[in-house]
Amino acid sequence: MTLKNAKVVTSESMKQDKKITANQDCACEVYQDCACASVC
Amino acid sequence: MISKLSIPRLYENTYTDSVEGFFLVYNPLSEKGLSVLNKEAAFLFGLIDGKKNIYDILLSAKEKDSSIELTDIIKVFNDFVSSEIAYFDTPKSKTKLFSKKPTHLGVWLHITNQCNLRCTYCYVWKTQDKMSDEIARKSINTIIDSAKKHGFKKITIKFSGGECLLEFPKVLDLVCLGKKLAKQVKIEIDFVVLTNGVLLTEEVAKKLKEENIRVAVSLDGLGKYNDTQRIFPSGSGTFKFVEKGIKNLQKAKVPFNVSITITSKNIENIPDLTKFLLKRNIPFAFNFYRENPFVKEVLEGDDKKLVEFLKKAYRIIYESPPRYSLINGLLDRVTFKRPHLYTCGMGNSYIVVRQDGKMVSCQMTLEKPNGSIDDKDLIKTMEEGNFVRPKNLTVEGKTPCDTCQWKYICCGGCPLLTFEQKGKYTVNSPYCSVYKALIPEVLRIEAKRLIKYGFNETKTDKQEFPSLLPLSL
Repeated sequence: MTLKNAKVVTSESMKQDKKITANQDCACEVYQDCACASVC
Repeated sequence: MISKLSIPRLYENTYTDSVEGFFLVYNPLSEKGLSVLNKEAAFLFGLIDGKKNIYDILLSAKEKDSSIELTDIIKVFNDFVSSEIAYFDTPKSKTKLFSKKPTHLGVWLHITNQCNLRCTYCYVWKTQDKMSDEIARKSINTIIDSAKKHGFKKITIKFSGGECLLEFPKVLDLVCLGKKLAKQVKIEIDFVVLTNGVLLTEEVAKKLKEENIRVAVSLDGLGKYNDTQRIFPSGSGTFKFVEKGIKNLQKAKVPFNVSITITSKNIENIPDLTKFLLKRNIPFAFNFYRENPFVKEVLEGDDKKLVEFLKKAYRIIYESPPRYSLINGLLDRVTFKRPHLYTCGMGNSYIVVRQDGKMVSCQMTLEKPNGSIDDKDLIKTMEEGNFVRPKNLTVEGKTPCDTCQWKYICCGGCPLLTFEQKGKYTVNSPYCSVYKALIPEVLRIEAKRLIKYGFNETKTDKQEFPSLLPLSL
């Protein structure tokens, strides 16, 4: 095991790496129902 | 600054699981979402016990890999801290996290009571009433004005009904006005059309694209499964029309998603519908049917069946997760965007205006107005319209939610539904057992997505933006 290869990926880091564009990131960005509106 | 003597600790209620040789860590108090660790990171994470300091961890790590250095350990633990799955000294403050004032105002503009469909579960009593131009323009004006006064930075206007595309010229007029006024007061604004999809012609789709209006299309199943509940007044089904509408949206490259209402009539088709949408790269959201006074038959899915068929649908997504995240649309009112205390924005960041200019707290309570766009301060009307009792009830005041590890993503579910079925707001959702059974499954889907695109991605895996693909249906 090469511990130097340790890596963490988070939902947010995927966004920051631009691997996912804002629009791609979240299906409910489109349908912002009441639940989404409270937390965006 | 991490030193040799720093002691890393784990957050309370942290949820972990293993997924295909990787390790999933979810801290319900994190704003970073889910974390996935490869096996090397998981090994180091496993050394956190609240007693070992970084130097002790280095010594344990050297037994596994003698080449590891202190700087390597510090780097990984910095990643754990920035991913909010571990902390040194003091954990992230809950008070700070929840004291943020909402900056995004959601507006549900019910511009017409008319509809070209008669869906069996609809909560709107259809009439010929529609919003006059005067009320419509005044609504946009006063909403933007009030939002500005109260420090909101962004407004999302959702056009609804009835079928709002029956009033498409009005929608376009209001979008134009909204953009102009929001620009003047420097507020960001965007628009969503909530539609049954039947009127999405090529021309309409083209216009939606031109005006940068996003769309949510309702579709509840394939063929007969959609057609048992989403019907024309004649009783005939709408699937073929909606299918064509979706095709038009894709052709015009309009960003959209599909909103699926799950009832006892279509639950068995949800896995096939999932397959259909994934194949076409269409984002979607599952919503559970909520009973309302206009529906006489029992349409709620049996909990056991809901779990069974949603698990089947989830398995399909898990096997081949799309590049875009579906996590916030897979389980009704459960959302993982960031920890929150209220299920919805009702009374805090959510305005609903009826066709007659009256305001209501929620689109499900259209018959109970609590103010109007003529009021001096719409935000105050919104706040006073919060029907939940006791006032300011958060998930921490609900039983048994207060001790549940999922409380900040579920918040006890829809308060209206809970009250209707249990007679009080201070308890958990009637869907509690369904949410609890499925939340770990949803987390596994998100983990699989992060593994696929965050760790394993090759160039050929890259996909285009989902709804921009003009795929044939």
